[in-house]
Amino acid sequence: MLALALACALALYAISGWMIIHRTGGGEPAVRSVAVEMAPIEGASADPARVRAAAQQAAARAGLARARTENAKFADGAWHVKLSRVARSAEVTLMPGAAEAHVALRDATFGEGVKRLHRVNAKGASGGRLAWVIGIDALSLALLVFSLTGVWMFVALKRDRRLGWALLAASTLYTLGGVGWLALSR
Amino acid sequence: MRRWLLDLHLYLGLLCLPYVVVFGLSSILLNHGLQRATKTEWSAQIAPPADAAPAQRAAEVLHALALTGNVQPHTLKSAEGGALAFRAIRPGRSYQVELAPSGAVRVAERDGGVLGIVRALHGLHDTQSSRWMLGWALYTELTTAMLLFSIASGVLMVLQRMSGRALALGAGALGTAAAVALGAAIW
Repeated sequence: MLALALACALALYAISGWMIIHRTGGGEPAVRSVAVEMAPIEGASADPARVRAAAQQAAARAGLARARTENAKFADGAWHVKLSRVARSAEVTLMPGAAEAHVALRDATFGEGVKRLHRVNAKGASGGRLAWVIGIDALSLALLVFSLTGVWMFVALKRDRRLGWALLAASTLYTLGGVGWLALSR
Repeated sequence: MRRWLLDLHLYLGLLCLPYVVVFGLSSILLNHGLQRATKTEWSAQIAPPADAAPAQRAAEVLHALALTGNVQPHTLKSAEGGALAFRAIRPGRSYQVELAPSGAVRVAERDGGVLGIVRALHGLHDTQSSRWMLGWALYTELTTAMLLFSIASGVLMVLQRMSGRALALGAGALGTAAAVALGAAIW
């Protein structure tokens, strides 16, 4: 039953992988700018951690909560902070002394979001992302286990195994040969 | 119907098994950013390639150096006098090449080893570098189709067994719902 649950999740992954290699489901992101009222921030002397927290607050008010946040950078007389989730990202601009922050929101298309989900990895993952990453590990292990149980099922069910062994030998030789060629050639 | 479905499930699965193993291993490597590369620098002298478009000259430089790889168009930089710089990649390896007008070439090579190759083979769809890689691109297509077919046929075969039908449907729905819900949570 666990295998079936993993297999169905794996199907979604296979579809998004197919979309990536065929470069389908892309499209331009929808961009909009939102002004959010904020307590004024100091200039270059401000604590970057405080600026970061203020940017997170501004982004949350504009509709981007619990996002990964990069370090605050001071450039061209303003603080800039980039935040991102899988399908939505934002750049928050905080002018020193101003009582509002400007949040430029970018919403990826559904197809682009699905492809980004496929690429989520363990780097800096926490919360929901960490659960997703653990799920990917489970799917990866399921692929390896399905391979072994598939061979076991073949051996258990087939009396005449010549065709099966021939297919497995040919594909294994092709794969190992290719990896060997790539490793040894330049 | 079940007999041919089972045969197709088994034989397609055996044909694609090595790719599925590569998929499984490379997914773990990619998921955790596991990679280790050795960097080397070397130089060589070649006959400067004839005046042509930068991409063609880059391909000629690679050929003269007996290297195979895809020249990354966005990395191509050419200067007056015949100087040329570009990056070429192949599974598990990359080359940063700098050609001087005299024909002197400096190459910074990055070798990811076997693990780097396995990582790079994950869904690789390079149809131009070599016949083997064209074959691998087709193998990628076949394996993706096989995975979807095997999942559908596996569910169908379990459903045909009366005793496990409700549980199988529930488990499949649970797996799909869990993936969709988790994806939506981090969307």
